[in-house]
This record gives sequence, structure tokens and C-alpha cells, in this order.
Amino acid sequence: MDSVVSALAPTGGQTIIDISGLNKWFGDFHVLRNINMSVNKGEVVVVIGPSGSGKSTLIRCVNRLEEHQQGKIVVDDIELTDDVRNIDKIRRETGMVFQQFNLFPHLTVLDNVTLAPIRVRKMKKSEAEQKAMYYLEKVKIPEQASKFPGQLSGGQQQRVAIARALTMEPKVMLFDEPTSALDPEVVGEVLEVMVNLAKEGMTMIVVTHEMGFAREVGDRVVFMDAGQIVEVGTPEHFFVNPQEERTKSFLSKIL
Amino acid sequence: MASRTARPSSEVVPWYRNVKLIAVFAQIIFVVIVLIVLAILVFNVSRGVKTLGVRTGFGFLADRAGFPLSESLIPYDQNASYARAMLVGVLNTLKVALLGVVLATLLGIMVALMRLSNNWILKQIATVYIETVRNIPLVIQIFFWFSVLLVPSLPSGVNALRFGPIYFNNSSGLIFPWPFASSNFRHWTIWLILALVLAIGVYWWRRRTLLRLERPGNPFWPAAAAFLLVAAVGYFIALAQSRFPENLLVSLDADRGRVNSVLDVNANGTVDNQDTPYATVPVIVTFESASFEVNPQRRTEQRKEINSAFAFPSLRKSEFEEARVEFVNPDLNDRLSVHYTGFPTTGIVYEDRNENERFDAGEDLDESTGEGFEGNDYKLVLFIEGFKRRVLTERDGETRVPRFDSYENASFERLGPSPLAWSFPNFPTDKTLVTGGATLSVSYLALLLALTFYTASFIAEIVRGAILSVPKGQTEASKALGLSNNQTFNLVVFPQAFRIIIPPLISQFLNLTKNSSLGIFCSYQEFFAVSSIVNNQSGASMPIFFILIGGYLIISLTFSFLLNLYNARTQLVER
Amino acid sequence: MLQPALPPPVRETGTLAWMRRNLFSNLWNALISVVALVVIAWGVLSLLNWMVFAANWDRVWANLRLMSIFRYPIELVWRPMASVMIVIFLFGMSAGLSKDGTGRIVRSAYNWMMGFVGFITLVALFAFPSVRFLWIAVVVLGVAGFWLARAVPVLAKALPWLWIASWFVSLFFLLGVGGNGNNPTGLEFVPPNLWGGIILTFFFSVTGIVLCFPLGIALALGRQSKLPAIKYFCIFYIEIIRGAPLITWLFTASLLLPLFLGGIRPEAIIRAQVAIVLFAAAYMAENVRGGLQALPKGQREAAHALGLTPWDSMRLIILPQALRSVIPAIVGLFIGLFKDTSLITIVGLFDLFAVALKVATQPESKLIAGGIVRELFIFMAIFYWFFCFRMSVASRQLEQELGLGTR
Repeated sequence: MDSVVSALAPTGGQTIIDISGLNKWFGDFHVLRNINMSVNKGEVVVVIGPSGSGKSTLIRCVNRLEEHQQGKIVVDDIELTDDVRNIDKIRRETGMVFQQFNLFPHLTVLDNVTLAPIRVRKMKKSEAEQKAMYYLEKVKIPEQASKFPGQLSGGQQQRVAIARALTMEPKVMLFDEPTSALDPEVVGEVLEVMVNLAKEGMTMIVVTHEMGFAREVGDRVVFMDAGQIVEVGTPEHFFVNPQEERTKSFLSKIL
Repeated sequence: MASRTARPSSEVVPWYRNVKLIAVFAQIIFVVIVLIVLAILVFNVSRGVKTLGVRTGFGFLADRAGFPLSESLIPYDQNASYARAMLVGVLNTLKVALLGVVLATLLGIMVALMRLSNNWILKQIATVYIETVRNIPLVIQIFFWFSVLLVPSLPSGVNALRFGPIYFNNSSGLIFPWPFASSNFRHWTIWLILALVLAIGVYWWRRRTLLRLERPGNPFWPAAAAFLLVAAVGYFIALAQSRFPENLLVSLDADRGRVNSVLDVNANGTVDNQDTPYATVPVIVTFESASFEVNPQRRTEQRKEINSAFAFPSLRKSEFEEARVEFVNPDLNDRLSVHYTGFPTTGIVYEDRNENERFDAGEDLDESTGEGFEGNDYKLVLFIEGFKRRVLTERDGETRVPRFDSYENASFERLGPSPLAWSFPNFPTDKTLVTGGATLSVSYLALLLALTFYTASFIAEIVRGAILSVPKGQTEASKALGLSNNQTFNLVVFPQAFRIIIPPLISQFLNLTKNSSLGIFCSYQEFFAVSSIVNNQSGASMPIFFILIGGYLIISLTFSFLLNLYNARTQLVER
Repeated sequence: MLQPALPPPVRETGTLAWMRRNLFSNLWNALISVVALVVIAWGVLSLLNWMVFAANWDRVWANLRLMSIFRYPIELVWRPMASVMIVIFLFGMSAGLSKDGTGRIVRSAYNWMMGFVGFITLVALFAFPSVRFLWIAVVVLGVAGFWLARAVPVLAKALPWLWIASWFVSLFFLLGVGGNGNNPTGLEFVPPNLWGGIILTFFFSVTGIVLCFPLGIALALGRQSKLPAIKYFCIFYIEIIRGAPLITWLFTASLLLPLFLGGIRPEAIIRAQVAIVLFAAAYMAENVRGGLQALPKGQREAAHALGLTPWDSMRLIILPQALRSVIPAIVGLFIGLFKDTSLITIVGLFDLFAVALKVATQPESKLIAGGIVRELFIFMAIFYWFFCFRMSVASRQLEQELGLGTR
């Protein structure tokens, strides 16, 4: 275990997410077992693992979509407690992209993107729209701004969802299997946006099954199984020379 | 880890920022508000009880009700308690709801199938029916069945429609023969139980055999056949076993028009006070000859009140030897004649003023007074020779024969001591007293029809929707397997539709039951109607509110319990 | 070479083929068709025959005013009519502002409404000179609303508020404030016990649905709440109310409300309205709950993840979507309420049904052989059917438009 713990330590720079001794149960089911992990500013951490291993639950704990029962989560020096103010602050500083996009179908793309800046950051409408257009251009769909989500393809919707999260200018982006619900031919366009984002230095935690992405942009790869972190390492180390048996068998099945 | 600069988690968070405490406080505030409102209400009520003189407590339930209820499944009279009156109401609610549920389901399924049929006209009929009935308030439909259709178009009183032993009029309703358990019913019960046990046994055995042989089939029919067979055989055996007690006496109480059956306790061979009444003996009463008088009946015909109309009991024409009108004042014999509108049962006494020996309009009035002839001006006398009447006596001694003024040599032939005795309706002249048989009042029928037609329109849409919701691929797949149209419907489509039908169907049953409270609009005395009478009389509105709401809630909860049971079962099946 | 498209064999198209397919596909069907046709023809003919020649419409005609406004003072009839004008005007505006999709449904409902109003105006023109000009004004305003809205599309923003205001203004007109015979500055007060007939039926059901709306939403949200005290209270309320029929609640409100209020005895109309609102709220809550449950969980989560406050996410994300999806159910609830209004006669109010019963027992009506119950029934049935049927058509169209109900 010692080697694992040491690998969890950041390689340098400033820690922005620090999770220690995290435990969570759904009823009697122990979904997260003593998770320790920290993420540095600008780092891209890719979480992989079989389904049901607790990956999604882990990142959903980071912005309190799920409540943890034991342990400590600190995001940008703010500890996630029952304090409403802290929860709000953390949610403001983290953007999240969901597997099912979760765009608001009754609002236009532009309204989807400007909603939170106006309501949460109390931005002026014109300012928010300017910013929204900037990010929509970044995800390469400014021309769709006045459409409704239902009129867009899956890939376009997911890019809007990314723009929506970015317009809040978060310090951390959480991606919860962003490409799993997409048709194979549009996965590329979403990954491209994510790769660019990573290159610009955004701190990201990405739960995904895209091993190519993990290999290309991941600074560290975290392998989880049965609610535990089994192995952590750089992509080269992880894909070429995995240490744990469980990791090896998982990789042999999916590669 | 050194770079971590998080504040320690032990830092105290003020309560108004703590998610968990906010939740707790929100609930406390909510509960306090609810309690304050409740306290105000309770305070107001307790003050109102004093100032407005409202009764509280359930003690009033034991008081004498003092009002009549025209229909009841259990013995009830004005001396019964309020509690019993309300029980009568509940039973009447169940009586209309249970039959209504069955009829509405049958009609609903029929209409749904009509709407799905490939006959264009049937489809249109079903559609028009559904769209009409759904969009008119139920109260107005009750008004239609009761005030527009049944009451005006049915004959009144003694002019009842008659189909053999079945009568139908707008005051009593539908009256028909009905079997009653006689005193010998117990001989048969053992056979009924046996038949039931056997049927269940056959059902299980047949199901197992079918499973073992891997044959399709329904174990219900053999089980039903077994039940009927044993019950029928048992009936005859019970019949053979049954006999009346040695000391059973049957006698005629001519004045009250009643046949008494008693056990001759003191063995003196005559009926006296010490004898105990004996239940349900069917007898045939035979007279060599008999005569009886009937009081004339008032009836209304087109706004003109004819006092001089009369009506005889509904005896068959062949039973009369002679029918004649006798006048109290013999002088009238010359002046007045009788016009039989339906010999010999109904007629009008008239004065033949224009001496054409025919009854003309207006002649039923007494010229001197301008009014109808009073009933006590004349008597209607029947002579009967060799009269035979099949009657049923009961413990409470209902009238089964006309009231005789004189009779000669009455004899009794005790019919069967059979386990079931048929009670035949007897239609007396006094229109408020129908005896024998069973009765469905006009109010009941109106409410039943309204509820059935109204609810069926909703059930039809449920059934249709469910059948249509079964994907077309299912039909195609079963046709591809070579199943016939009927097999496709029975084995593939309907079972899938059935699951979708049940939950909304049960909620329609519940709606029907709740809607039966509109019976008050056609003077059907169900739970709500009786409760509101009790409220008017006793002034105990508070406890009646609790009884009323509680009663309906129990019915509702029963239905939701059934629904949950069903949901739990189908969920198991799905796994 | 391309095979030319051939016309189908003759027997597949045309009236004869249609009849063969739909009426006489086999002997059994043919028999049913013939018998049904004969029975229907006989039934319809005898009904028409009765309605035209035998029925006595005079009494219904003579009592139209009673059945429309009951005992509302005839010289003040312009006030209920003013409410009608406001509503029709706003209806026109809504239709004028409506766009595609659901807008088409509003427009077709508006066309129907105008057809109906036009019919009444025609009747009034010839038969009821006292209200002739008021009805013409209704038609004019209905059309004016449409074109005004067409010309000034900005009004769309004000429309919901105008609708809400219209209820208060209608109430104000109907009830009147201040003023009496001597004081012409105010509107003469017309006590609610003089209201009745059709105008009461409408006002009652509309008020019921409007007032039950906020309470119903609150109950639905409460029932979905994670806080057990609130959740179980709402479940308790909803189930108790739905467990007993409306008539028992009307009875309760009529008898016990004064007791609960410590001896204050509100007008019968208010007591009945309270009962209807509290009753409808439970059903509204269940409808809204349906919409809330149909909403994907992700919507709530996305709102949280963006940092929206619970209030904002409810107001901006959850309710707009949930309510939109239950519009057809709400229309259905309104139809139910509209029909159920006929029960308020039980607490001594005179809605259309109660007035009709009164008319049936007038001495003049009783003079007619067989009374006039049949005529009254047909009048009421047509009235209710017309409105309920039109609304249920709209509800079905909405359901289709919103993509519900289709599988």
C-alpha cells in the first residue's frame, strides 16, 4: 500500500483537490472505501475502472451531488462540510459535465449557458452573453446559440454542456463519462474539445472509458475497483507496466 | 500533503448555514406552524361547541333514529339506532358499488372492443357514446336516468309493468322472485362447503396434471364443473334429509293477510302466545272460496285527480270467480257504474251522465260535489273459487296473501322442506307495501345505470389504450408463429394489456364507489345521504364528519391496498 | 426499363370498396351494420321529431335569463357581460400572439369560442334586445384582441399578468364595491346569493382551478421533499382529500367551516369555493407530482452542479418543465372541476343544474304534460357537452403536441 500512497502524492505544484480517508455507503453497500487522492492545479486525472467501481460516485462527491459519510474533501482550500456557504462556493468553482448532457430542454443554448453566470455570479446579461459566445466558439458551435437543445445532435449537446460549465470559469472541471452516451462518430468532436481544454491548463478529473484520451492527455491515471483505488500512475507506467493483478486483467479485457 | 492549507474541519459552522440543521429547523418550523393552526382550529371548535350547541362525541350513535329508510339489506325500522341507520347506508353504498363495478367493467370492455372492431358503424357508436357520456356531469346523468327516463316513463303504482312474476313500476321499482335460505338451508351448507373444497382440490390437481403433461388448458372449468355437480347432488340429498318439525303449525291470519308458521311449544294444537315463530316455510294455500275487499286507490292521471279509480291485487284473471263493486249507499247502485280499464285488476267508478253506457272523460267526478268518489263510498269485492296461492312465510311474518274478509275451508300444503325457498312477489293494493321477492328500487336502478354508463366510458378508454399499447410487432410475431387471431389476442395481446389495465381500472372502481355518494340526487339512501339525514336530526356534525371521511377513507385504502398487492405481484413476475 | 406505376385495382378504392371493407366485410358484420343503421336512424329521427314538434321549449326559452345569471339584477347585467368581454378579449389576444405548435391549439379553441359567441350574439340580436349590444361588443372585443396582439407582439410579455388580473377584475365587476342606489360613484354591491346559473358555474370552476394551482404545486413539492415531516404531512393531506368524494367535502365546509373559524359564518359561495379549492389542490398536486417524477434526475443535478440556489433551480429549471408536461392533465382537472360544479347545489347554491331543477318545479312548468325535465336535460347536456368536449379535444391535441401519450 505504501507505494500506492506515495504515488497519490502530487508531483509538485499547488494542490487544488484533496481527498483523504473518504468513505461512502449507499445503505449497507460500501461504495467508496478509504479513498485518498489529491489533484494539482493544471493536472488532468483520468479515473478508469469497471462499471460499479465507484468512479462516478467519487467525482459526484467532489461537488456534493452525493454526500460522503467519512473523510475529508477539500477543494481550493475550502472544505466540503455541511456548511451551505462552502457547498455553494465549491459548486461555483467546479464545473461538471454529465454522461446524459443534462441540458435544460426548455431553454435555448444561449440561455442554458448564461443561466448560471447571471443567477449565480450575478453577471450582467450582456456580459454573460459575451462570455457565453466566447466559450461556444471555443467548443465550435456559436451558430447554434439560438436553438433549443432538442434540435442538436448528441455531440453538439455535450459540447454545449462543456461550454455551460466553462462559462462559470471554474477552477476544476469534472467529467462524468462524457462520451458514453454518444454515437461513435461524434465522440471525436467532444474529445477534441476536452483535449484542447487540457492543453490550456484546465484542472480536470475525467471518468471515462476512452483509453486513448487517458493515454494522450492524462497526467495521471487512477484505476478503481470495488470502491477502492487499486493503482495510480502516469499513463506510460500504467498502460505499459501495470503493477497490480486486477489492473492487468482489466486492461487485458478492454485493450 | 504539506501544501494542504485547508482549514480544520472542527471549525464551527453557524446553524443557519449547516445543511443538516437547516433541514431539521425547517421541519421544526413547519410542524410548529401546523400545530399552531391545529390548535387554533381546536380552540375554535371547542368554543363553537359551547356557543353554537354542537354535539360532540359518538354517544349520539346509540340514539333512536326515528326516520324510515325505504331500502335496507338488514332489518331496520324507525326505532333502530343512528348507528344502524348509517350501517344501512354503508351497505347500500356497497350494494350499488359492487354491482356497478361489475357492470361497468363488462360494458367498458364491450365498448372498447366495439371501438377496436373493423365495423365502421360499431366504431362510431362506441366513439359517440364515450365522447358524450364523459363530457356530461354525472349528476346530470343521474337526473336523466331518474327524473327524465325512469320515473316518468314507468307506470305508477299498481299499473306496474308485469312480466310473469316480475313487476316494474316507478314507485317500488323492479320486483322479482328471489330465493331465500329456508330453515333447512343448513342441510345443504355442508354440501356447499364440500363442493368448494373439492373444487379447490380439482383446481390444484388439474393444474398440476396440466403442468406435468405440459398441455395448455384452464383448470378453472373442471373445478367449476365439480363444484356445480357436488352442489346439485347435495341439494337433492339435503332435500331428502329435510323435514319440518313434528310440531310445526301453519295457520291463516286472515285479518292481517298473513300465514303464520309457529312451533307448537305447548303441544295444544292451536296457535297461541307461547308458541315460537318458525322461519321460512313455503306453503300453497288453497281456499274453496274466499272473498275480500279492496280499498280504492287514488291515482293521478294527467293532472286530473281521479279518486274513483280502484285496483285489485295482481291476481290472475282466471283466479276470479266474480268481481263486483258494491256501494255503501244502495241508492248509488242505480246511478253509478264501473268501467274496468284492465279487468279485473283496475277500474274507475263513474256516473253515466249522458247514459251512453260508456265511460267518458269527466264522468269519474261526482256531479253533485264536482269531486271524485271517495273510496269509502263503495267497496270492491272479489269472490274466488278454488283459489290457490303459493306463499312463503317468514319469521317476521310478511304479508303473502290478500286480506280476506271471509274464506271457506282453507287448507295448507307445505311445499318441500327445501333448503332454498323461492319468495314470489305479491303486489298488494296498498302501493307502499310490496312484499315477497326482492326489490331493486327506481333510485337504485337510476344510480346504478348512471354510474355504470359513466364509469364504463372511462374503462373503455383504459382498455382500448392498453390494447393499442401492445406493440404491433407482438401481433406480427404471433401471427408469424402461426397463432390464430383468437389465440393471438388471448395468449399474447390481452395478457400484456391486462397488466396495464389493472391499476387504472382499480382507480376507476374507486371513483365509482366515491361517485355513488351522488345517490342523494336520486334519493338513493347510501352512506352520504343517510349521514346527512342523521346530521340534520342529531346535529352532531363533528362526529359525523369523522365517520363519513373515515368510512370513505377505509374504502379508498382498501382499493389502494389491492392495487399495491397487484403491483407487488407483477413486479415479482417481472424479475 | 422502369415499370410504370399502375392504378390499384378498382375494388381497393372508392366508396363501394370502403363500404365493403368497413361495413360488410362478412355476413356477421353486414348484419350488425344493417341492424345498427336502422336502430340509429330510428333513434335519431324520433329524437329530432320530438325535439322539433313535441318538445316544449317555451319554458326553457323563458327561463334562459334565470339559468344564465340567476337573480343577478337585470339592470346590472352589463357587469357579468363585462367579465365575459374581458375574457374573450384576452382569449383573442392569446390567439393573436400564439405561434406554431401549442399556439395552433389555442387558435383553434379561439375560433370555436368565437363561433359560439357569434351564435349567441345572433340569437340575442333577434330575441333578446336588452343584451343585444353587449353581445355585439363581446364579438368586437374578441376580434379586436386578436388583431391588437398581432399588431403589437410585445404584449406577449404582459399576457400572463393580464390573465391573472382579469380574474380580479371579473370578480370586481361581478361583486361590485362601494356604491349603491344613492351613490353613483361606486359599483353597486351584488351579494353572492344573487349569483347563479351559468355565470356561477364558470366563475366557480375557473376560480377553483386558479386558486388550487399554488396550493397544488406546494403540496406536490412537499410530497417530493426529503424532509419527512413535510413529506408525510403532504401525503396525509393529499390522500385524505382524495379518499373521500367531493360532496362530503362540500358538506364538511358548509357545516364545519363556521365551527373551525370560531363562529364566523362566511357566505355559502365562499364555503363551497374553499371546499372546491382544497379538494382540487390535492388532485393538482398529484398531477404536478407526475410532472416532477417524469423529469430526469439529471436536470436537478445539473442545476446543483452549476451552483443555482434551490429556489432558483426550482423556479427556473424544474417547475417550468414539470408544469409544461402536465398541461393536458391540468386541462383534464379543469374539465372535472367544471363538471363537479354541478354538485354545489348540495350547499344551497344555484348553479345551472340547481336553477334547472328550480325551473322544472315552477307551477307553469308543471302545467305542461310530462313537465319539462326532458327539455331541461337536453339543454344542460348540450351546454356541458359543448364546453367539456371542446376542452378535452384541446387537451388531447396538447398531449400530442407535447409528445406525451404517444408511445
